[in-house]
Amino acid sequence: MTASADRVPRKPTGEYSFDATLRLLDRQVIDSDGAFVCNVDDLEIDVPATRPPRVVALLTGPGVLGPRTGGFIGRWMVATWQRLSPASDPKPGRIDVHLIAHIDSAIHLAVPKNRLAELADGDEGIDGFEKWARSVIIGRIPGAGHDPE
Amino acid sequence: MRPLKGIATAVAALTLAGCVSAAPDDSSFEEKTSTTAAAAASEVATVRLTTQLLIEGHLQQNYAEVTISASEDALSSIAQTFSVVQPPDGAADQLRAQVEAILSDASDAVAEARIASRRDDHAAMTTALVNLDRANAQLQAAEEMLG
Amino acid sequence: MKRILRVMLGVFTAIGGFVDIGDLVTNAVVGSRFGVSLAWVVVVGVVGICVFAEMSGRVAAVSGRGTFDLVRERLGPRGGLLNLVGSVAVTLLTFIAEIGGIALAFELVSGVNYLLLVPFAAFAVWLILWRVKFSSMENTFGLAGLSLLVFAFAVWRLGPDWGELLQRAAHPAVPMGEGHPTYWYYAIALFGAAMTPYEVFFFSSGGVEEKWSRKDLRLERMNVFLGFPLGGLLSLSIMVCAALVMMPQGIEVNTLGQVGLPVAMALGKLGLAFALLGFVAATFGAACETGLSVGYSVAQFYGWQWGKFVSPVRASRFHLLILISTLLAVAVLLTTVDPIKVTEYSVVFSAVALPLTYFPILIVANDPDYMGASVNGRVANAIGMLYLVILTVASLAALPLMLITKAGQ
Repeated sequence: MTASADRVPRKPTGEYSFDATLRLLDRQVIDSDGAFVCNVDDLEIDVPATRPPRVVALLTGPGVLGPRTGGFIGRWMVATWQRLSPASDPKPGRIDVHLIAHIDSAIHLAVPKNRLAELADGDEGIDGFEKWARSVIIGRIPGAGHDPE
Repeated sequence: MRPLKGIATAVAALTLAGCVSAAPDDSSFEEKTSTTAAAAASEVATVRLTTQLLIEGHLQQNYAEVTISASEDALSSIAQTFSVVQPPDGAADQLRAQVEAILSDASDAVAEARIASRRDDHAAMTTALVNLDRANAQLQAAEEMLG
Repeated sequence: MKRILRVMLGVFTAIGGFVDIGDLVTNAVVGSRFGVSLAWVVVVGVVGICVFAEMSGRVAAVSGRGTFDLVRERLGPRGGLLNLVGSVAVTLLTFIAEIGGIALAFELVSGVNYLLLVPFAAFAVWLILWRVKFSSMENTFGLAGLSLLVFAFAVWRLGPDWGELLQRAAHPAVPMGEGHPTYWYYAIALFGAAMTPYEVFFFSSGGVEEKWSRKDLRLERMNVFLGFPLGGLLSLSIMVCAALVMMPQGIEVNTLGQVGLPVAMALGKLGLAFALLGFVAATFGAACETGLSVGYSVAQFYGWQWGKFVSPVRASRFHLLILISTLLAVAVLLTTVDPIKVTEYSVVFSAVALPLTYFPILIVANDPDYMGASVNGRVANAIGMLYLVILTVASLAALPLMLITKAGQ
């Protein structure tokens, strides 16, 4: 994938300028070890009065995907997520844009998945379901930790 | 969700299409009888072919038993379905009785083949072949007469 | 030498892996009722699957992205979700049919009622998806599936009049006793069986699993352009076997046992044993592929970790999906629904769902942003567009024809 890496031009100031909807939304996020993290379900955008709007963070989870899906299904997604989440007021997963290493057909992070928790708040939203599935079901089945043979 | 409703309607329609309806008139009853005869003939021919291959040693015992049983089940369900079709008038009653008799002969022949094949009794299988041939011929004749 | 072996392995597994329960049943049913008058559909279907499998393999090798990753990017969350639900439903139906097929194949071997075998078949499939490496799984079932070549051998031993056979295939006519709607209904079923959407999910995700890169593209093309047409020939031999043996005797195929009878007739017990091995390998291989495809599709849509290149704890949600699908398949099959009927519906619904998969693939394969220099050429695009028209027509016509013909009766 080296040929297609970093096709998004970087400005001299170190900032990117591009169509965020096309480049970021609904893209796969991959961590520094090559593991799949999540999909970009929504963006957190800062709109200062004097400067053009800036993408501050990637958001993920049913809490933000629901409203984008819309309709009955979207509301149902959000309601289920709120109901099943351990927190009383769950927040969507949030990945600060500073953690992005480069962007090609996917968004590559500069850090491994398990460090996202300490680097950001609202980490439950990123891996909550995965952790639940692992601890309650998959991790209990013999051979779960072995690589396939 | 309108698409969901559409799918539900389509599924309901498909389910209903699979059900047997009462035949309201002569031609429709004859058509149903003809379809029944063709389907039954197909099962009888399957049992015939399987028995023949078993006699010739071309077929594993288990394979033959499973195939014959499947056809026997199918045949009995075909006969069952036909028996609940409403005949429209007296002439149809006669046709119904004839086909019922042929179907009954066919299932006797198939049962004979099943029993003989499980016992690996070649002589009985050869006899069953003759009866299967006769049943098959009758079913085909019924189908061609009506179809 | 090693390279030649690798090429051969790829081609062989593509041949052996081409046929699944849908192809086995549909080709035999069609052969027994329509002779070779629908053989042209297999040819059309094989060309189609070649074009689109090559495209999705290329997309996977160049971008490293699976199909549903791209579907969501192109269609957004709402359209993507509708597509996901439709595609996963069809793939699940196929998965159920394949597991039922394994049980039916073992019933023919053992004589034990297939319902008793369903839980074991499902457990075996799950265990393979849980523990066995992707490439071992593909190679084993692909190579074992080659034993279906016995159908081609059987055709040769049955010694048909080749000229007449070709004549009938080249000038298709609806046989006596069958209507035009039924003919077209089975044409669509056959098309759906050859082009089943899961093959595309599986092929592209498999490319990512095996870490294909641009360098592997030539190998991938060889697999597709040699393996799939030869696999299509296997499908055709199953059809011709049924046309030669079953049709003249007035037998309409509706069980897996009937599918193998022509082989027994031509080649006896040994030939039939090969056919049975082929049934088991084809259904097992396809059950694994469809089971994985369900997991791939959903996980890619949500961006979850997926794949067999990591241990199950590192892709817990993906493995949870596979586990749930397997349990669902067992539950559905234990209702005593006829697996052959499930198969017949699955191929028709596959035809209905075809545009859902093929349209996004065609769009992405044309996107220089993803594909760089490997973007679709003119030929690929021309054929791709032509097929998009064909499969849209097939998709729209499938359900009305199902209603008119009462599902092909």
